[in-house]
Amino acid sequence: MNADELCWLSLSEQSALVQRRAISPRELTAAILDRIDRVNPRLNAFITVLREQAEREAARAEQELAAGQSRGPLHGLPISLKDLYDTAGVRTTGGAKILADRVPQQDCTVTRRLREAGAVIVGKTNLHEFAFGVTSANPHFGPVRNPWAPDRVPGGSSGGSGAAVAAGMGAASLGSDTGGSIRIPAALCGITGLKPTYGRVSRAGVLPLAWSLDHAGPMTRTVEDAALVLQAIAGYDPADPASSRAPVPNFRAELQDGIRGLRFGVLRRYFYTELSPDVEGAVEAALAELERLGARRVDTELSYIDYALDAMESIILPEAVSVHLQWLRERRADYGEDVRDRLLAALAIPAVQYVDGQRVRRLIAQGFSEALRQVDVLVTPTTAIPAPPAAGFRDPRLLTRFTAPINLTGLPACAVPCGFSAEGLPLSIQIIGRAFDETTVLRFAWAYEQATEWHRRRPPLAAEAS
Amino acid sequence: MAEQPADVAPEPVLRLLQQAAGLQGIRIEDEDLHRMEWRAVRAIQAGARLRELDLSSVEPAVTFAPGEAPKPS
Repeated sequence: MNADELCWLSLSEQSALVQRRAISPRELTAAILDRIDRVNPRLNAFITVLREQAEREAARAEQELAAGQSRGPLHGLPISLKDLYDTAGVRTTGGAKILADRVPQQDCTVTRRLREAGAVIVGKTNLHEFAFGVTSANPHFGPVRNPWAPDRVPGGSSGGSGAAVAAGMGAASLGSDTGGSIRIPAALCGITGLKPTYGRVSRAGVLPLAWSLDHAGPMTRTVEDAALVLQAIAGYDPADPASSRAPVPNFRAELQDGIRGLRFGVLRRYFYTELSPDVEGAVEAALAELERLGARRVDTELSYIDYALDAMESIILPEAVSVHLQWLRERRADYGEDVRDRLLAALAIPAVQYVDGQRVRRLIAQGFSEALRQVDVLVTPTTAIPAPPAAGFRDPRLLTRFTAPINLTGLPACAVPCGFSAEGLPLSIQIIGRAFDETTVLRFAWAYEQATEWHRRRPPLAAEAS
Repeated sequence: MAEQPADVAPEPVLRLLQQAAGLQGIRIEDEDLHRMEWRAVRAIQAGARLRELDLSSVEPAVTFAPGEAPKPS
């Protein structure tokens, strides 16, 4: 197997080879770093590449294995982090000029747990400035480009993570999701993105955008890999006030149990209108495939869903401007224009509107809970359109309309590839589950993934760069 | 219905924005203010649409019992 083929293995395939010593962590890490050197200049997916540190970590992982010590399935496997996860001694910029030289003294909880699981951190990925946007057109570190079509947006805010994983620059990356920032780039880059239940994964040491909506989670090329990474990072953390003490199950235990006899809900009205014809066709085919796999389809509806984006706007903006108030006073000129204007405009929102947003949020969450009493999961498109052109894109709601409502509920949701547009751009379905039931979400996602070939396609750039 | 433009006049919104920013120690120049107009108006329209709902018996999603962390769902 040559170095480039190593880069296209899933985490679980890499893990099997490392555990039986067929490849070494150093060999694997070198292959990923070399690919980053070749491919990243065209995609700008990384803000910082940690070559020397990663080589040291890989060497240590190799020594431990030689001594008969394995830390588990992630031992010696290269992983990247969105550049808002704190990393001790390595700058963590949040994609912002304001934080361009910020070097945290400590790892955040997720970084620490990944290191404890033996993962090798290869770099920090590019993002929309302060994670506040869906294009990843970063004014300070340059725009991230979509590996499937460099003139298209990769989605955001975790656009660098999406582009990196889709282009073979590591099998997994950690993203964050406040209104869709894991699932949107996963959809637009043709990979899997999992937003776990709110409280499942610690946000301690992750730069906040909006506290009550922020989630941390994995972006991978396969569903099994998403489960693998979630297993390493999930669980109670006293450093995160919203962290849950809910027991952490074995997320891979039921992965291969199939979905025969399970029920999935289709929310026809809100989630299946104003779709591009490509999205509509691919999602209908995906629903038919789930039925063919033995799951029962139930058409259902949600109360108050039409107010979800209004509630979202009323909550995310005041929380975000609260995070940024001091910097807006002291460093206003150091923001990019779109994020600065969005934050400043948020000052117009009265306190009563924020509270009303939180009241409507409760109604929306109750609506989802009621729907999920009738079915095991809900299935929707992830976005209404495939990746739009980077030039002139001005309607982010086309990307957030189906993802943002789920952040209001805190429910787990997974984006899975479901086809390609006529122009060859990836398309995606979103599978939403009950609180703390990532297991069933992943079970549906895995069953669908295994029945299709979408996740195996590589972007044209991948072949050129090999 | 939601997502229909609520009737919100821009001028009062911009005055409100300028005053609210001033209270926070942030000065917004007129030229910047007009660039922010559509964002500020859209944000206030969102609140206007929420007021179409009868929320009289609904508590905010952030309420929680002592000793329990707030959860959105």
